[in-house]
Amino acid sequence: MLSTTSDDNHYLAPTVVESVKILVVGSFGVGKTTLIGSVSEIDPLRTEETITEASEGIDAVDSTPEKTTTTVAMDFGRITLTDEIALYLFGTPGQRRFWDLWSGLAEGAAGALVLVDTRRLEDSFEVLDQLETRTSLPFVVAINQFPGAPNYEPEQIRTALDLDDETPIVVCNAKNRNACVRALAALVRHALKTH
Amino acid sequence: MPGAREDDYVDHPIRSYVRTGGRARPTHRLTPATLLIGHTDPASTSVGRQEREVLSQCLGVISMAEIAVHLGQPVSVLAVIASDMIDAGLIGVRPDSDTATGPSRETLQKVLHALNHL
Repeated sequence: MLSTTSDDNHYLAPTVVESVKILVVGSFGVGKTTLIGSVSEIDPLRTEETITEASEGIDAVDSTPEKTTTTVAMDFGRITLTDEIALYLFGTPGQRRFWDLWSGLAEGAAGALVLVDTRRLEDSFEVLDQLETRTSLPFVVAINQFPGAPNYEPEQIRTALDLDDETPIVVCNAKNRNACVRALAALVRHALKTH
Repeated sequence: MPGAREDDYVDHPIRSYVRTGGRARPTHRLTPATLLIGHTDPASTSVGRQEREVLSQCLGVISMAEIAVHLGQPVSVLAVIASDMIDAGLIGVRPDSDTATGPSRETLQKVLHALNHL
């Protein structure tokens, strides 16, 4: 079998009739997969999609200037929340050039958790810009506090990222399950306010 | 499963457009978070190999994304194949899974309550 999950949690309970998805967005290396792994009941899985893109910048994805298609990996996990509801978390880079991939994902999502590394705040600009201008998704900014990273007050982050007063900012260690669950709860609370 | 390997290597001897009969667009809205369940025993039906592979992953409730990973296929390719299988009555969709309009307020409240009690 190609399956890597154990038989115990390969399938959801037969009573599950509804799935809800939350996007975990942020630049490369910001801790998306770590966060998903911290809360998921299955080991994070990786799907690969081929996208067509204009040949502009080169970054951590396999890509050469001549190439017009790129394989983008998307990690995801799941949590069974009630007898009937399963929550899916999808990690996506969120940059403009991956828009085709994540616009489909954004449709119907409960919201987006934007993971931010305070050492590289500028890496978040493009992701936030995409969320604000191309979706109506509620989102929460979660600061993944890396050891040794600058320790800013949330309001300093708000100013630096030019966030609305309504956008919640939470501090979250992506390795800590409880912190990640609290960040997800903050997002759903925010989604309910704007729903 | 013939051809399956223990390691991470997954060969794609068949081009995606062959698998999907040349079609690129599925007839149903099937997203990575869409939940499917098989309606048919993969061993007892006279379906083709790729339908049987999908059915073998649908013995319980499972998402498109998970099936795609287990079969080593992109979700976009699986969506085309799974669409036909839904039309043929081989598999079914949980209708409230990942709807285009998003979760209802009631669902969000249940999600929040559950997260607060994890």
